[in-house]
Amino acid sequence: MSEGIVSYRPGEGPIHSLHPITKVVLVVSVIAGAYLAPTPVVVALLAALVAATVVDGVLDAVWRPAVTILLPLGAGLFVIHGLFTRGDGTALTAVGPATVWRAGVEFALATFLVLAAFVLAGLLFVTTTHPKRLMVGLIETGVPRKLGYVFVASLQLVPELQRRARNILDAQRSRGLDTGGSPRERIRALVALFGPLLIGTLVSTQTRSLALEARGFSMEGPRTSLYDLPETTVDHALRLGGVIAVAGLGAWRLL
Amino acid sequence: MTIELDGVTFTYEHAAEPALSDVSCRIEDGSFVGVTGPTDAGKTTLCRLLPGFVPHFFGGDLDGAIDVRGVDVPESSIGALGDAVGFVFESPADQLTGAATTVLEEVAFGLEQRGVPRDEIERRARERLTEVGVADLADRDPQSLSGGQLQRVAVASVLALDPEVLVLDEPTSQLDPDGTRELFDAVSRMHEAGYTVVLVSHDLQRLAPRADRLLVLEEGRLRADGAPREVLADAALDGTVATPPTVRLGRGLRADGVVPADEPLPLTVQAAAEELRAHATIDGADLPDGGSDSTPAAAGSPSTAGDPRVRLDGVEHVYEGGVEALTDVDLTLDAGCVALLGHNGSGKTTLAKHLNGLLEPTAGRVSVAGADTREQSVADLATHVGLAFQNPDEQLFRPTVRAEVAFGPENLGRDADRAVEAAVEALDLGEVIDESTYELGRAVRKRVAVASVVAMGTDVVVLDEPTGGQDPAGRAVIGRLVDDLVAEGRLVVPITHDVEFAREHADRIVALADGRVVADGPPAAVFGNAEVLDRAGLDPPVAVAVAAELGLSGAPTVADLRAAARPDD
Repeated sequence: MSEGIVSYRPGEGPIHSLHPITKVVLVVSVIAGAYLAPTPVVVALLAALVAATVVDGVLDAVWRPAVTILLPLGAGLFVIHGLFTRGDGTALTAVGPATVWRAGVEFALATFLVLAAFVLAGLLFVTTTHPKRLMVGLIETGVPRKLGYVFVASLQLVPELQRRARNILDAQRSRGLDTGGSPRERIRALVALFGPLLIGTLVSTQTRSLALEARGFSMEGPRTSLYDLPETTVDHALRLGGVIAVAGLGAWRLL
Repeated sequence: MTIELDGVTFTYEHAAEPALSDVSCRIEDGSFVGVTGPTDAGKTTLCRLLPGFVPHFFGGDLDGAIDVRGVDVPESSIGALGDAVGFVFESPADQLTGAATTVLEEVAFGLEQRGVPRDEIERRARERLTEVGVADLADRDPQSLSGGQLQRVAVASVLALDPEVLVLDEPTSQLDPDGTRELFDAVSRMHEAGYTVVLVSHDLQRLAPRADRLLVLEEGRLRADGAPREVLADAALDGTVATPPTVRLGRGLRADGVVPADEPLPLTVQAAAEELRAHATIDGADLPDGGSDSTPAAAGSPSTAGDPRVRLDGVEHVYEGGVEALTDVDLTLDAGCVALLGHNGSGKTTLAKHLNGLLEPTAGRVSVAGADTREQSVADLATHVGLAFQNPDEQLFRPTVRAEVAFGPENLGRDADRAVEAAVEALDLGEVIDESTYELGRAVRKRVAVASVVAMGTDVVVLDEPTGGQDPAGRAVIGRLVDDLVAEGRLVVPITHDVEFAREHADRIVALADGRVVADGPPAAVFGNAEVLDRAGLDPPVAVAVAAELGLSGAPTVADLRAAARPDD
């Protein structure tokens, strides 16, 4: 139903069992750290991320989207910087009339490694972090409850809207609407799609808000959660480690 | 403590007429009250009063007093009333929180909002799921469940808050027969466990034997209020409520003097069979011969020389995810009313989408008017095949009924004015022709959706669940339409769970199970074959079930049974 969308993969691995806020801290640390760190450290970081992905057992869920995102990105980087970033003018090789510059390739490689760390950290986070647990964790750290709800609800809204849009288009095409014709026809098709999509969503939103209200969503008073999110010493150590590493890299940069 | 409505009149904001007029009634603790009546009679408004949705969410003018277990509803709030009254909506999916990744989270939601301790949340949520019979779904994603499963999850979710009163507003109108039966059974168990139940439905064959009281609303007023048997004895209500077939049979037998007039009317198949056994003899030979085989019938053979209108040869359809929805389907559809039956997931809708090219077979061939559907666009095929979808909300988009119905014929370059006029008349929409489609109730919107397809003037008309959510009058309109289209020589293919409708209007039944055709023949033959019904997961029509209970074969109608019943001396 939600092809192409990377989503949570149930599991019991070590990354899965981390507190969601620990993972938020680590993702932010990886992003900041990869940006600040020298290339060898980024390589080590990448190796650590790949190892975490393998150990946690989500490699099969991560590698395909990672390749889909990184392959065109990497190709673009190497072509553009390799050919157009001259640096000190040292040529690496010549391909026909084009020269590949050493500095360009080095820059492309460094950038690519940083981006790969971003993407891998993001995918690892999404596939191992249960959205509801994340919401609970965020609320516990002070994020407003309604914002937490919107976050999780919007994750579910996308496949629902896709399904609805498909049904509407089917219904309109069945009545002779040509969705692949002239620009005028296409605009007509768009109007025919958005009317019912909007109205249908509004109708179901009305029911949903009533159902939420009746179940006490707006009630005053303390909340509890189905989920217990224990914070272990590993969590504390990892959070602290992430922050110290980023601070250290920042200091190294400044010096 | 009870629920008490005293002289309640309510008019929605911007509405000209009140939705409820001077309604007074008292609902005792622990009772099961059925509510029925035509579309727009005020049933939903009555339900909305109890949890305070009216007047706290839907504003308007409210007169009179509503007291729910000592709480003055207009003075209270929805959140506070949620502790006393649980509400289950018509649409299974829309009432989910939309923020739960598992069924357990869904049920836990209300408890979390109330600050219930963690270990108790899980215990109570699981208990409620067990009570409604879906404990095994606790770890499933709600979005992957069927309508029937979702409705029971919705019941469990409101039960988790320990309400005393359970209000269900047409909870089965979007469910298949299995889902409907499961929901009614779950609700009956709740009633036995001591809950007060208020349930709105047109399905009186199921509702009447379970409820201890039946309220009939019409035009916002309480037209009848009493024990189901007494209310249904009044034949004057026949146009207003869907009188159950067993009651119609019982009334007939009393009128004929076969059963003494003072015996209570039968509300169930067993009771109807019982009274026939006690008072009459039916000779199987007096019933029309249904035959027992289920080989393809003559009704679908080509009426004219040349290509049949629709032909499927060895059709197979495998969805992208690998789900095999149709397997080796061979069918020739040419004339008459060919009803497509089967439980949810049997492949009915997938098959229907092959008829106008929305889906193409992954193996085999579908031809419409002799041409392979793979070689034509859906827009081209629309000149031959019209397909009305189940959910009108996913179909209607123009500002008025007139414009909506004109959309199809305009696309096909046909005379829209004449087509609109005829379709609007056929579906009894004359009164609303210039109204906004968004202002109409779901049942009327559904008829607009059907009209907008009928107006295309296609040779083949496919209708997905045409009677879903219709009151008796709406159902009669659809029935007449189908008969008229067939009389004009068009091929009508209703996809339906409504076996009574199929028995009455179809010339041929095609039953699907697991993507295969398991029966194909005249209604009497298919419905008379218990084994085939079982394989297709279909309930027999009520009269057929009564006959089977008496050990008679074949597929009689209520009229057949009545005519064949000879009084014992």
